[in-house]
This record gives sequence, structure tokens and C-alpha cells, in this order.
Amino acid sequence: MVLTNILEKNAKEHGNRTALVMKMGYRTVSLSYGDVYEWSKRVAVFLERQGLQREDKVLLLAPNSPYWICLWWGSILGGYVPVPLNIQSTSELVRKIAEQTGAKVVFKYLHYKQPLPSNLSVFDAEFLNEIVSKSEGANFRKPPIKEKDVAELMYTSGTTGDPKGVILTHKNISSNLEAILKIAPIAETDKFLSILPLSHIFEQVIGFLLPYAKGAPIVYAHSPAAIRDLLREHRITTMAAVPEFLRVVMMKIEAQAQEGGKKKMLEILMKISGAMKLKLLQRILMRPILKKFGGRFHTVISGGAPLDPELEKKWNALGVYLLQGYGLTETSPVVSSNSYEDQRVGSVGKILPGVEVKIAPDGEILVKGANIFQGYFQNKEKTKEVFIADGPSTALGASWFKTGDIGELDKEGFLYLKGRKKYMIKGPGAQNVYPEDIELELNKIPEVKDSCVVGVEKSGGQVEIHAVLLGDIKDPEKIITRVNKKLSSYQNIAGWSIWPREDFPRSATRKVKKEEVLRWLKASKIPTPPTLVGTPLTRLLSEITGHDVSGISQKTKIVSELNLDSLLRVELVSRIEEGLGITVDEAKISSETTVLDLEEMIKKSPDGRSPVGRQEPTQKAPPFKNWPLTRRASLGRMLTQILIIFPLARIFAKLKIEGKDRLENLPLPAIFMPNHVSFLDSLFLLMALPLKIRRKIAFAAAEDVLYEQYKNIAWLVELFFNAFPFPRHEHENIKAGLEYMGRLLDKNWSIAVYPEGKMSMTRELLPLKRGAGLVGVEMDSYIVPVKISGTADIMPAGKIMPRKGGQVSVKFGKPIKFKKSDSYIEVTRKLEGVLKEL
Amino acid sequence: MDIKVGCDLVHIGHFKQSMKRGGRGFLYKIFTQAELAGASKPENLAGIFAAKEAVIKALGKVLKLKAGDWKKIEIIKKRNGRPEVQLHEFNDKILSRDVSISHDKEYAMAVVVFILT
Repeated sequence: MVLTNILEKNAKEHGNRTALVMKMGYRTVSLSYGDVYEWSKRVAVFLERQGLQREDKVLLLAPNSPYWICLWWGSILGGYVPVPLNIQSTSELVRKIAEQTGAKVVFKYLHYKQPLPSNLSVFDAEFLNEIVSKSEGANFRKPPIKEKDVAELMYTSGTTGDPKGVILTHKNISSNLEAILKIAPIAETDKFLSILPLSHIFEQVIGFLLPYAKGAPIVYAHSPAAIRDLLREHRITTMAAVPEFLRVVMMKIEAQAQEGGKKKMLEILMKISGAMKLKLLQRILMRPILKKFGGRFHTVISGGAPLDPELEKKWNALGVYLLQGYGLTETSPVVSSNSYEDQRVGSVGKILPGVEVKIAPDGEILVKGANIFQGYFQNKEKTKEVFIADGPSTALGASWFKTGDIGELDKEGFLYLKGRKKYMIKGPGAQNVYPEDIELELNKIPEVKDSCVVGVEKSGGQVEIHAVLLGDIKDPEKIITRVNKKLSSYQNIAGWSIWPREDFPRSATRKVKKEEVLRWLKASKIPTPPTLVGTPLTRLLSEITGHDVSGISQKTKIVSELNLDSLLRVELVSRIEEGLGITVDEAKISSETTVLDLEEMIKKSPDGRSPVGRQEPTQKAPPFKNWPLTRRASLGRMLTQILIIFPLARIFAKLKIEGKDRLENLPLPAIFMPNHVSFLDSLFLLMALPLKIRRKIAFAAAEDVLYEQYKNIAWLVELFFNAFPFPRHEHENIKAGLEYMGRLLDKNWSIAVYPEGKMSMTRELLPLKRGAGLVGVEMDSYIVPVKISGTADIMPAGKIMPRKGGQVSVKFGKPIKFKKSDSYIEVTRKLEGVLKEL
Repeated sequence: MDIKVGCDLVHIGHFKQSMKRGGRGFLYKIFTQAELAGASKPENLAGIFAAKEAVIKALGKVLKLKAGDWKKIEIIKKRNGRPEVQLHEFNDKILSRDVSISHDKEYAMAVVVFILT
């Protein structure tokens, strides 16, 4: 099957259903199957205009997002070949790949600022809707695509040595997809959360194509910190994860139980649950924990690295199906997997239907099937190395692919992995020693955060089993002795070291890069465990300023003595923010500031994560109120407005409306920005709006005015004008106000906000607040400038009682849509200009 | 009438290092989205940073701009390629302004001039 069938079928059968969701900035982007198809067509047209020819490569160097998906589909739809790259790729790697593939185009992300080859056309994925807005989907002409055509090029690991591009055809991937669907029924009521990078085949097939093919929506996590909330908010049912993630989450669950004094109870519950056979009963028992995940979470598919059987049992005991699978990029990717029907703890499951597996005499797993890749791109040598025969040939029947993993099949057909062939160490009596087994034992010790066991060649040809430990290890010898007791004598660890950095070098799937660790070992003559010097703060200062850690004391003046110039100061502050989630005011760092002063600043600072690097608030975010948006409240509001308030207003004033025709085809929700001269402005704006918009509009009310000065009637205003708190001063929680606004817009409510930030006493337009530009750019909606005049005559600024009658005029200006790439300051000025002209 | 001038020199290599180590947070602290979208190479960003520093030096005392107010200053490239300084406040005090940015292999520099009322 050609993969694009999935794209077209879903667009046709349920084009309106939500396919992809992601919070981007303050708004949630939600694309339906129809939208994705439309955008993909536009991407294809856009790429054609860029001069791409059939099978030309398109580099994708961006993080997960609905836009990534459209770029991927669009490239394939147009007959081009997407090359998904890990976003942490160095510019050197990108250069090599660009050269090898002859790519002309790269889609990167906004803050990837590393140099890219100058012959590439570079686009930012975040601005996709603007990039393709000029391309007409109707102009798309579908090229003939066959199953055997190349679908994509996947580059596997290789920051060292030369990257290898795995060629995958439509048939490779679709055959795997079909086989997986046979053993893992996905329903369209399922909801997937995507946390692993789409540049990895595991997430692509399991976390994207699998749910997409079945019409199950996918939510993309916009930040690791948001995962828990997303699971709950969207009531996620399924996700693909790596063992590292599962380990961390389980640790958090246990830590929370510990804090609440419920650790013992949790252990007992898990024990009982583990003994139960029925998943349903388990879920009832573990309900309080499952509720934290949204209550509907039922399946995790684990892959990418070996899963500790103890961890597997714990997750299963939670009432969740933890299905471990096995495969490689070269096998599209699944070779075997546990399923709802057939599960064995510690095994990677039964072989997938349609895939053949044979165990070589030395234990290596060999695979044959429609899912085997076509070879490494322009690398016949490396391709030959991994096949038994001269490469994948269909004429004589496909050859066997050498996975490089050692394993065995039991009588029932379950596959068990022993370890990676190249990491295997030969014991003193030629036994096979799998470092993975030793690492498993080492990692069980609480002090050991992680471990890496390698075979180090000694003089005389002997290989020493050497363990590199990660963590704050006080007595490594004791640990090694303890673990050695649990291992067979030929597995015993002979030498050990402690990794001197905060973490091992890792791959995209968080696997430890053993080659690099081995290289480090060989380089340092005597692996003496160097303990980390200084405190995290002094180490950070040392890294940034280049001064030796031992020379930095608490009395050291960071600016004058360490040469911390303004550039390094920004780096320091932003790294403290990212590392600790704590904001430090740059302005407070002067030439006299010492390390001790800095430590004090950090301790006293309010805790708060600002993922986009904006200033943090001192107040809490106001809770989102749903009740004013309900049908009942809306109805009550509308009736009161029509029956009481509006007629009353008409006694005092005649209303003249101009520019109402401009609102006729206005895409909703929209944001109205009027000038502000009287408290009556909101009332007359409401009266002037057409019913369609009036029904669903919320007013941004100055927090300090409404909720403090007039807090007694605040609830009234909230009800009749559907007001929500919005800060207007720099020190207030602006971000929270914007998040609130974004949520209202997501629910299709239009907004009215006064960009001046306060009432003008003089009827002259006041300079607009910076937030006006921000709202214009970030909220992804049309802005309608409004000129209100006459209200100040009836009820002057600041007064709450009308003085006399008069005429009020409400004039709607031309709606403007700004681009995400526009400057906030420029937008603010433009709006100011437009309002003045009205 | 008052003339204020400011200038700054940035070592591009150091800037690139800080960029790499500081990551997203670093970039977002200093530059607005429009500036990031408009700059194709780190050299450009280094030049914009130098321009912002120059502005702070020139107007710091007058406008009470303090460290950390990076995004209150925006350097926009006009269609003819010339950069322009945009401030979100105090524009009424400024009669005229101009900025010039340059970079060579290792350094980026910027000079700004403001004429105040």
C-alpha cells in the first residue's frame, strides 16, 4: 500500500475529525484530517515551486508538531523524499547529510541558529501556514507513486563516523503498519500523546502512523513539564515511550506516595494488583493513581532500549498494558512485539505476522520480510556488511538481515534479547558476557543513577570487564563488591570508574553512547574517579567564564573578578532559569555582586518556570472560569442584555454604527481593540456587535480596577459582560492573562481588550501598551480596531453614573491579521496608527 | 537638544559559544521573535546584540533602561536592508535616531545615535 492512501482516506471519510493537536504559544493548534490533507497538498505545491524534482530530498530539522506532520506528508505526496533529522544534529552532521543527499531544501525551527550549507533554501517550520499560504492546494497534481518507491530516508545515529541513511519504501513501512494493526487493535476513540521525536522511526510508526491510520487523534507535548497535565487534560489512552521515561515516571509516583506517607500502602496495592489476573480488577484497585493520568490511560508501547523486567511488572501492576516491542530503523521498525493477547514479562514479544526470524549459530537475530530496508543510501559497502548474501535481492528471495542483537526464541515463539553483539564481552572461559545484564544489577543500587559496562582490552590480549558509574558515589568499591556477589564469576567486574559529568552521552532514544564512554576510558590512563569539584553554581560560573572552579569562592565578585560581561551575564541568568526554573533579575547583578550574593538571589527568588523566557509573576494565575461560558449563563446574559440593559442604555443615547459590513465575513474568533474613554464603552460595543459575535465574546477587564477598586460589583460585570481578569502592569502576571485569553479563543470566544490599558482622560489616543502587539501576533486571530466616541459626554472617564444623554458612535475598522514573524513593537505602532486614523 | 551616542563590540566566537550553551532560554531572553526570524546567521544576532548594548549605553540613564530589558529594544531590518531601532517607550522624547551595524570575521559592532528633546 502506498502510504498516502492513509492521508487521503482519512480526509475523505472523516475530514472534520480532529487529527493533530498541540499547544503552540498561547493558542492550541488543532488540525482535522481534512486540514492536514489540504496543508500537505500546499506543501507539495510549494516544494514544486522551489524547483524540486521527483525523489529530491527534503530535510526536516524541526521538533514534533502538527506542522512537521504536514511537511512529511506534503513531501511524500509530491513524490519527494523527506529526510527527518534529529533536532540536536550538529551543523557538521547536517552538512554531511545535505551533501550526501543533494538536498535543496531544509525546514528547521526558529532558534536553530547553527550555520547551514549556503546552497540550501532554509525555512522555519513554525511559520508553515505563512509559507504555504500562497500555494494553492487546488494546483496539486498527484504524481504516480508505487509501493516500491522510496518513501523516506532515515539517518541512524552517527555523530561519530559517517551517518548512514536507511532507505525505506512505501511497502516497507505499510507492511509493518498492517502487521502491527493485526496484533494491536487501535480504536478511533483512542487518544495518543506524542513525546518521542518524530525523527525516530519508533515514534513515526507507533506514535504517528498507527493512530493516524485508525483515526485516533494525536496530541503533541509542547514541553516535558506539561506531559502530566496533557495526559489528564486530553484523557490520553495510549503512548509510545522509552524505558528511561517509564522509569522516571514510576519514580515520581513512588516519591509522591512517599511524601503522602502512603508508600507502604502503594507497595501492598501493587503486590495485590500484580497477583491479579484481570486488568479490569487491577484498574479498579489502582484507580486513584490512574486518575492522575486522566483515567483513560491504558497502554504504553515501550521500545528503543531494553526494559527492566521489574519496571515492566510495576507498570503492569498499575493496570496499564505495557507492551514491549523490538525492532530497528532498518526493519521499518517492528520485528516483534508483545500484544494484548500474548504477553511475557522480560520478552520482546512474538514475531510480527509476515516477518521471519532466525537465530544464527552465534546467537545473532536474523530477519527477513517485506519490512527489511533497501540498503544504506549510496553506501554499498555498509549495506553488504549487514546482510547474509550480497545485499537485499528480491530475485533470489530476500537475504537475511543481521540485526547485530543477540537473542533467543522460546518454545512458544516469544523472543528474548540478550544484548548487542558488538558490546558483548568474552569472559575468561570464552563465555558470552552481556554488559546489559551487569548494568541491570548495578542500576538497582539507589546511589547509581545509571551505569555503562564495557570491555577494556588490557596488555596481553585480555579483556577487562569495566563498569563506569554515574551518580554521587561515595564508596564505589563497596557497590562493585556487592554487585559481583550477585553475578556469575565470569561476569565479575574487574575495574571501575565514575563518570565525571552530569550525564552520559546519549542518543535520541536516550541510549548511552558506549563508544564515547569507551573512548574516554582509553584516553585517561588511570581511571581515577574524579569527584565533582565545587557547587553546581560555581561549576556553571566556571564553565561560562572559563575560570577554574577551584579559584571561585563565595566571596568572588562575578563581574569584576570573573570577567562576566553583559553577554555572559545573560547566559548565566538564562541558564539558571532553565536549570532551576528560577528567575534572577539581571539588573541586580552589579560589579560588586559576589557568588554569595548570587546564591542569596537564587534562594529568595520566586519559583516559576517560564518556558519562553519571559519575566515571572509574583502573583498566582487566576483560575479559568467555565461557568460564564455555559449555555445557561450565556442565555441569561443575552436576555438581561436585550430586555434590560440595552433598552436602558437607549434612553440615554442614540447609537450610530459604522463599518458593520466589515464584520460580515470576519473569521471568528476575533479580537476587538477599541479606544477607551468611559466605562460605557463596553456596553455600546456590545450593542453595536452583530448577534453572532455578541453571543460569544469576553471582555478583558483590568485586574486592579475591576477586582480591587470595584470588587463588589465585579461579579455583576463578570456575568453581564463576560469579563475576565487581565493584567495591565508590568509586574503583574501578564503571561497568565495571555494564557487565559488563548484558552477563550481556543473555545471559539471572541475577545474585546482595550489596548491603551487605561481610560484616556483627554479623548486623545494614549500610546498603546506593548501587550497590544503581542496579542496581535501571538493570538493568531483577526484584530478589529474600533473607534468609540460620544460615551465620554454621557459618562466621563472614571465616573460610574451617567450625566446626560447624547449620541454614541461605534466605528469598526478594517480587520487586520498579523504574521507570527512580525515584530511586537511594529504591530503595536501599526495598531496605534490605525486607531488614530479611525 | 541633547545628543546621545552609544557603541558596542561583540566577539562573534564568544557569542556563538554563549548561544550554544545557553540554548533557547538565552535566545528568547535577548531577542524577539521577529528578530530571530529575520536573522539568518549567528553573526547577524551578534550584531543585533551589539546594537542593543549600544542603545542601553546611549539611553540607559535617560530612559531608565536596565539590564534585562533587552526586548524593549528591537532592531528591525527595513526593506532596503538598513537596520532601525524601535523602542516600545519614550519615543516622544526622541527627535531622531540612527543605528549602524557591521561585522567582520571575529567581531560585530554597532553604533547608535539619538537626538533627544
